[in-house]
Amino acid sequence: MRILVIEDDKDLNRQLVEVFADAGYAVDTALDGEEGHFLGETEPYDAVILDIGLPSMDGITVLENWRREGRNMPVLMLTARDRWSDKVSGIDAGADDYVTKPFHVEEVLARVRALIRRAAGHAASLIECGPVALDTRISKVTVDGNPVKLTSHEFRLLSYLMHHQDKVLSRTELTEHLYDQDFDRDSNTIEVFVGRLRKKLGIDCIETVRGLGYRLQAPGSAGTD
Amino acid sequence: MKAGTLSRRLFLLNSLWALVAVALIAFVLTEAYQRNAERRFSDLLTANLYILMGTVEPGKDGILSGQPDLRDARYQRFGSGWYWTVNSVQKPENRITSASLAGGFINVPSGISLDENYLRLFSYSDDKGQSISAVEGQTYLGSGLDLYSFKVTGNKAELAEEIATFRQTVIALLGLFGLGFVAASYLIVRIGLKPISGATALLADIREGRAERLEGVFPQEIQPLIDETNALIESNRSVVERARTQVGNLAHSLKTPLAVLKNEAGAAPPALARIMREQTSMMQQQVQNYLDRARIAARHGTVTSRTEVAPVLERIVRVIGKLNPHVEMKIDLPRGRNAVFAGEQQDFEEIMGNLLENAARFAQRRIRVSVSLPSQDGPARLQVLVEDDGPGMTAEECELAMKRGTRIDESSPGSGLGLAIVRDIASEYQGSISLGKSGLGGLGATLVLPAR
Repeated sequence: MRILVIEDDKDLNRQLVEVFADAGYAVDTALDGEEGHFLGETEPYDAVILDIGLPSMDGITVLENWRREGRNMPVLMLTARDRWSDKVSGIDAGADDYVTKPFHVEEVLARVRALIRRAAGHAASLIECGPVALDTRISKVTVDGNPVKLTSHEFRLLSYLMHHQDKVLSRTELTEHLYDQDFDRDSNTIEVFVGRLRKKLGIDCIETVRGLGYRLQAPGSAGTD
Repeated sequence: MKAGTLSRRLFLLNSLWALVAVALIAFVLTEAYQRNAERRFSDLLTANLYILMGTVEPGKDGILSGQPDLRDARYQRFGSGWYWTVNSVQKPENRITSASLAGGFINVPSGISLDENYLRLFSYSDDKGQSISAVEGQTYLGSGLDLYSFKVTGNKAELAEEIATFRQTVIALLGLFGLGFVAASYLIVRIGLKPISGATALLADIREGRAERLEGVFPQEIQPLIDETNALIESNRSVVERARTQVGNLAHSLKTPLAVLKNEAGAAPPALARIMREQTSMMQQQVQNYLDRARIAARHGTVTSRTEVAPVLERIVRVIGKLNPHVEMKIDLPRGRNAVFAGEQQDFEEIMGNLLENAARFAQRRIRVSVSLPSQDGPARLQVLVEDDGPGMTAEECELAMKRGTRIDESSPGSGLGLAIVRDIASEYQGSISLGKSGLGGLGATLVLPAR
């Protein structure tokens, strides 16, 4: 899972990055509207945290531009203005949720998790795939109720697969959602992570679709192709 | 007319002028009339004297005789004060008198000498004590050696009476005229200054929030004043608006640093963390207080505002629906009638936003918003009922929920200020909010607000 934080206050930006990184997300960050807009336009994010009051291009404009360009990732709006007219204009510009300042970063984390889940079509915070369960609230994975210890990259990969069950996901897509932009990417490492995940989960639920990528399916359910 | 008003000043000046003018005119008129009457009086006496001199002469025996025709019955009436006598100066017993004098005498006060025409004017009191004015002429008659004295008198009281009558008439007529003038000036002041009192009433309307500016057509003399007042009101408003925006900006700009401090407190040593949390929440409360005050101050003087209910509800429902896709939301509007809230749009948005946000937080699947315009006596009212199918609240919880800053369900996100804000805003409009059971099984919030 990869997210983008656009917030011009350096300290708040850092705090947000820290809490999301700790929760196992790959995090990109921007300190002004233009840079943030560019990143959101060019990189695939699972969610964006967007401050409304930004230098160079305000958050509403950034958001409107993205939506006009067809970028429809979930966006959580951060705003100091807590009037309903401000909220309405944010939501109308295309935001999926808002948090008013001052907030606890944990609240932002909880809201973003809910947004990502909702975007993937999951209403509950617990996502299951056969015996494998992912509790998005606490970033924990269990198999048949037994906790499985994963590294942050393994967790991100599994989380992305769990959110997009039964879909064939290409290596490139997985890579894009696994690393932040500063990371030296190598799509071959995906294979390594998939191998480790299969081993740690102990069940065969990640299917290799030859030439296309990978697909997460509950064991026993028939493939569609 | 109140003390110190322009009307009073104009009215008093007008009245004073009327008084002075009437008094002056009365004085001048009666004075002129008196002089004229006195001259006529003495002319009459002189003329009668000459008639007397022309008609009375001594006969061959030296005895005075003649019937002077003075064409005045008063000389016949005894004691009328209108007398005449002719007598020889050397032999005073040789005399004839008017019937009115009946043998009496006309006493010449001592010390009045004849002028070069042998005439003298004098006054005396007759036997009845009447004040008499007399003219005497002396001439030689007959052989030319006998000097004769001719005297004619008139009753001064009649002259005085005539003058008094005239004066009374003048005073009565001028008094009437003066009263008319005062009444007219009162009307002129009232009617003439009516635009000013009109403008004053309009200014009061502005102060009490019934109007935004001075509207209407005013006389050319005060139109510039009206225009300037409007410009002043406008500039005042924009100054206040700017100040308010700046307070808002300041308050909002503090929220980011507050967020940073709040979050940083988690990583700080416990003692420092506690202080940071306490201080930041105090600062946050202050910021909120000032924002609330700015919001309330902004509303003062905009009682004329009106907000269409339906578009606001649709917008808020759209937003809440997007944030809570699992909840189905329905709006019931009064059929065939346009619901209009008598207040600011932002306030209505705030109320409905908070109510619906709360409802969505607890609703299982459904929220219903019903707007009605209950017909009743007194000012028009608007009723909005927000119902959800959530767990609902007990009576104590309902009471607690209205208190600022309390949160019933600590696990649900939100500031917990929502319902208290709703109650505050509603009460600023003399409206109300009450919580109870809903037809959908959960909480039902009934909001009553002024309508247009």
